[in-house]
Amino acid sequence: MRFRFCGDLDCPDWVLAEINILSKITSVKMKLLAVQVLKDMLGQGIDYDKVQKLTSDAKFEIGDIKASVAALSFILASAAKYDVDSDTLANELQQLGLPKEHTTSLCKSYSDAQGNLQEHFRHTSLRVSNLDSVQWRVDYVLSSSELQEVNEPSVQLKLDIRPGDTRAAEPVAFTLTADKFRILLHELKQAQTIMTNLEK
Amino acid sequence: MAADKWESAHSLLRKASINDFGTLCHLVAESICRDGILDPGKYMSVWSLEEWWQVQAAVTDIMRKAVGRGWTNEKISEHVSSLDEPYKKVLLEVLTCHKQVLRRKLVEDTTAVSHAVLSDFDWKLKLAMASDKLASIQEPLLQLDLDIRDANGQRRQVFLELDKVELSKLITSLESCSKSVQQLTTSA
Repeated sequence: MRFRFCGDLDCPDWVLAEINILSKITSVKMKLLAVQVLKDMLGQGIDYDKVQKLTSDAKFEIGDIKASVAALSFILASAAKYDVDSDTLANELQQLGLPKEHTTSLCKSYSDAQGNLQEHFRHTSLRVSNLDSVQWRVDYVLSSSELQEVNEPSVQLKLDIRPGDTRAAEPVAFTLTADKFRILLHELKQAQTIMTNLEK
Repeated sequence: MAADKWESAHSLLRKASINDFGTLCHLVAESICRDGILDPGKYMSVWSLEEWWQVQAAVTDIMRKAVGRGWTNEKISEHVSSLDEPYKKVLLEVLTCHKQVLRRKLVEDTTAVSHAVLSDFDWKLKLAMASDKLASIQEPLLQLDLDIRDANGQRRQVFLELDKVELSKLITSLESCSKSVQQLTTSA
């Protein structure tokens, strides 16, 4: 069987197995567990003590706790990735054997977090580099060893470029002639126009 | 010292016909502008390789100086006084017609008196379709490659990926910079 929340693919066997484990805790506890997992996915960190307390009633072993957190992460991340609405997700999870109360509470948390989750994924999607800040200075060059009377402006640019997401910004500084600067700005504007036209 | 260079080169220059000298001057001017190396092959029948270097250095030197210091024709003639009249005339003609380009090249060289200079840039606009995190992104990204030449002559490529927000931030910043550049160019 194919599921939309799995990207129109079969549901992985391990998730199928963990759904069985998830049914063992109460639906309220699962909702709270889902909240913790969502927090972790949004980069706010997960409170493991709380997770342990939530699952203590069902006498979960450490392996079961890990498995249930992994399963919830997979379900929520995958659903957000393929932009599945909460009704469809509820429907599909029930087909996989998750009890109705569990699905309802899980999908409630999911529909609340879907927008945030997708926005977060959009931000954390692979980027080769990011631009942190721009600094510039315009110099008016009067004279040089090459040319006695220059009287032309030149531009100093410093770009703080952050490669990837985690590393610190690397400053890149260089000089350019006024002519080259004009061309650079003109072409950047051209690119911006194409970019804005794309979104219409 | 420059005068000595010219003195010793000028007797060599006489070996070339006036036509050859004219083309040589044009070639040297072009090689200055392009940072290119001249092929001596054509002149091997006139000069030895060593003589060719001497001649090329002398002509390059006089051209850089004449434009760099804004010499008048009289001043240039003074500096090449040992040269025969028709040769002098050819040199002045060539200088007049390459003056603008040579000046632009010298302005570029002046800008290159720096820790690093932007020698070239390229860009391409991409539309990110999907990633491992999101199946449908549809986000335009601008890839900007900067070719930067360091003070020690080494080329360094800087790759920059900008999304819409970053690009508009960059453009806004550069635009205010452009205003002051424009003010300086119009007032000059």
